[in-house]
Amino acid sequence: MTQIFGNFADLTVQMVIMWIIGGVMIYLAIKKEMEPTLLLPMGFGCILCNMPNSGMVHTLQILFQAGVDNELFPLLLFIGIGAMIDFGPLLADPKLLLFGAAAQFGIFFTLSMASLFGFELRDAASIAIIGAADGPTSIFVAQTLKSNYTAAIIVAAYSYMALVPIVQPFCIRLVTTKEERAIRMEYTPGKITKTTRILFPIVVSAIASLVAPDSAALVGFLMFGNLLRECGVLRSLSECAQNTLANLISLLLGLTVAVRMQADSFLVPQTLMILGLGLIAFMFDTFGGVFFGKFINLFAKKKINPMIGAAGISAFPMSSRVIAKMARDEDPYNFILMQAAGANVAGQVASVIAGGLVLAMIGPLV
Amino acid sequence: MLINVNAFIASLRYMVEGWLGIFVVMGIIIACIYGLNRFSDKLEEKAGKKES
Repeated sequence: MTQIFGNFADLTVQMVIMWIIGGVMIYLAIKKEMEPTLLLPMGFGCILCNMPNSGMVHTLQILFQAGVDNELFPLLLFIGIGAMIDFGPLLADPKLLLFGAAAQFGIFFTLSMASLFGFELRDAASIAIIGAADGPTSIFVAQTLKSNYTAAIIVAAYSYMALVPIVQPFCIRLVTTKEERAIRMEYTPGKITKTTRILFPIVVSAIASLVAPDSAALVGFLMFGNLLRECGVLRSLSECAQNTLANLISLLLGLTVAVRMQADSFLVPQTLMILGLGLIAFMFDTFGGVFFGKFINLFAKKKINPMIGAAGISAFPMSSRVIAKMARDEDPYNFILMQAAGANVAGQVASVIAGGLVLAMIGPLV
Repeated sequence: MLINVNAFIASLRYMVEGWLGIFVVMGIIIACIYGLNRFSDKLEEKAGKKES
């Protein structure tokens, strides 16, 4: 009997709280379909890792060292993401890349805010990258900078990505008028040749590697995935990357990250602060994009709908769909999906490069 | 909660440098895309002429 029930004596209230958190994650994944590929395995792993003397911790620790400690899983996931993305709308209107840049403002603003609230520079930078709205980038930067709050950062990053349909409309309505949201935009796509589509991932990888060498792996894997998609001769590899590889890595990543969600390191006041700062990052990304759109309108002959700036937040493709829906809500005949999608994929590129720049700036100091 | 004003002021440098840095990189990529589009258009033009 002692062997069967002896373990109960090691049970703590904090562990039970972590079970509840794990349960909530599973509930949100299944019932609300919020990032289920990640939240479900994370929730399950969270519960099992918070059992007294759990053998799960040891097993997941091995996986963590094999795939997250060395940043392998997020990089492999990027091949899948790259293979999923169609850069067509961006190549048709390259200026949209500027919206991707503008909507990274939240990252750098949050870096300063996290510093103000007493976080070490490495943690402040890792928290700020939640604003990249890109899970793998958050994991990569947090791990490279050896942040003490990796798990909280990952939970915040994926939670807010799932909350884009709530956070972004609220922020956009705060800073735009009904007239601005109803601005119609003509879509005149330029001709994109296959050569451009093939050379684009190679050129972007080369530029990113030259400008921010730390982003070479991030951008390189993303663009390699895209090259698989665009080359036209590796259809089966492209499909494998989009489906099998991305699913397998997501599955392992969620479960593995849960090992960092143990009560003693997760239930600290800093976790709540990280959730708050993550929200600030998402909000100021959105503000940055929208205000950049308004700034362009000061000079542009053809007005643009400033909402497409908010789509530069990455979070592909959810953000562009949200923006397109908001435009249709104001005017049922206002179709800005393609422009928003262009800004959205621009955000994907910009967020990865932002991650590289943060590593280039902060990495040598920590 | 520990408020660290000095760290905040020091970090403003990263805010400005980082955000502007992305604009610079994006500017370079935009220039490259326009260059790529022109280059590939010319390639196709040449290929078209050869065929005809």
